[in-house]
Amino acid sequence: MNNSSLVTLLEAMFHQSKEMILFVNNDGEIVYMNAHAAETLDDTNYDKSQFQHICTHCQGMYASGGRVECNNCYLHVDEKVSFQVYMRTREGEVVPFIANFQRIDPENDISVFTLNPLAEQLKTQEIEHQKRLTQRIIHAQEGERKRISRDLHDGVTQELLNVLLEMRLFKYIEDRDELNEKMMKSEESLSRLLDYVRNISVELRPASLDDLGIEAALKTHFKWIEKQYGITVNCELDIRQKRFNPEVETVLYRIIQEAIFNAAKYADIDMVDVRLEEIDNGADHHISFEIEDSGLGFRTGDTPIGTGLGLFGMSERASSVGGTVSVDSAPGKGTRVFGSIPV
Amino acid sequence: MMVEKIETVLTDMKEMFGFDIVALTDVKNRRGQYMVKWKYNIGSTNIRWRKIALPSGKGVPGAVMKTGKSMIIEDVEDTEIATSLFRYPILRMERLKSFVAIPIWNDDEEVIGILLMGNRRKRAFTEMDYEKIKHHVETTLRQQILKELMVNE
Repeated sequence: MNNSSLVTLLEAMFHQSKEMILFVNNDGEIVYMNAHAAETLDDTNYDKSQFQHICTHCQGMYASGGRVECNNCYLHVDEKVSFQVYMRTREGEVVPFIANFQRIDPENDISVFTLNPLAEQLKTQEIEHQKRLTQRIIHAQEGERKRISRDLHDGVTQELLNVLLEMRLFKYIEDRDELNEKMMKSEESLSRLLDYVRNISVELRPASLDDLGIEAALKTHFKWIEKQYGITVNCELDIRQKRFNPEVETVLYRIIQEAIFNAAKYADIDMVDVRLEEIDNGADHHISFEIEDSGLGFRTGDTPIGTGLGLFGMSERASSVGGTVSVDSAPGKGTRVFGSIPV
Repeated sequence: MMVEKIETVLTDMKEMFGFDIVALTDVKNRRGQYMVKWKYNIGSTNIRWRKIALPSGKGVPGAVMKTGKSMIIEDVEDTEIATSLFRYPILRMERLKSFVAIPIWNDDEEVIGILLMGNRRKRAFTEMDYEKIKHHVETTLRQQILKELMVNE
């Protein structure tokens, strides 16, 4: 029954396995790898005469929020089981794998690194995630429409109807003075209506952003915030260039707006600081921004009080123009939203 | 007759009816002025309300002005307001869970101010409670506001 020795079996397993098996020494140099690993991994970028290093293949580990990073690299621990790692493959893609890393020979510091494809599982997970996200976005969109529709119905339609009725009565008024007075009243109603509509449209998207640029639009917005929520925005805008690419301007405006809204909603503060700085040293031209409050703060990673779409939207907007957003907060320590957008 | 001030009347009402805050919007109703501001806010924990200036039709004052009717909310969480708290800054800032908002009229049937009285907890109001409050507003606060308006004009 026991015809073959364990060594032969292990060897067969090493060569035949559809799992990638690599033996790695303490410095991350690959001592052996099995056929499947050699077939899968991209080997174009290294000198065959030299030791091949694991880092030429590995792109980093999965970290929270979908980022890929090298913090706490598995090479420096004795054992790390079932973690997600990204490797470069022959097809030139970066593919996720489920990995195990175990030190099997402490004397010579050799570890075994096994990799199983993850793409399938990840795909279903991604679809699920996408579904949930879409639902939330649709929900938010519906809410926004409801709000606009109510604003239009309650404010504009009602008021217009009023004026219409008033004007219909004009023709029955014989007395000139009375007519004048009625017309004045209608005029007032109309100018109030004009204000109202202007307010709605500014809330949706400020015309000043398109006409006058980011600086003017932000200043107007800060004044509005103060009136609406009683929160003073202290701003330091260090921008030399008056206008930027409209996309960049919109992204900046929306990120700052969202960050201030969050502060107003959750931080329980009277003041928010906004700093905007244009940095241009030839090769690198970007705007860095920072929105900071000294309010309640929160633990990053906690379940959000709101929809959670706000922070997500900010980073989505930023990445759409190649920028970044980070959030730094702790309970009782306030919140800082910062990042940069290339110009 | 005793010289009273609106502020005193509001403070008395806060004690008498057991509210956490009692606030009153700007009592001026000049033509062409479409902003509503909080003029008094007894019991507030912050100063944000001083800076708030709502265009007509917005927030709690807007809702009351539009209908001309009082609003009695026993549990904010239980209403549509909870999902759009941000449109009612004062509720958010003061963390109100229940409130009564009453329009105050002058003799020409114009709203000259909105009174907001709220608690930071749920609170049930009976018909009687409301009538008592309303009666007090009619006989004391409204008279006081009209008096001060006349003095200022």
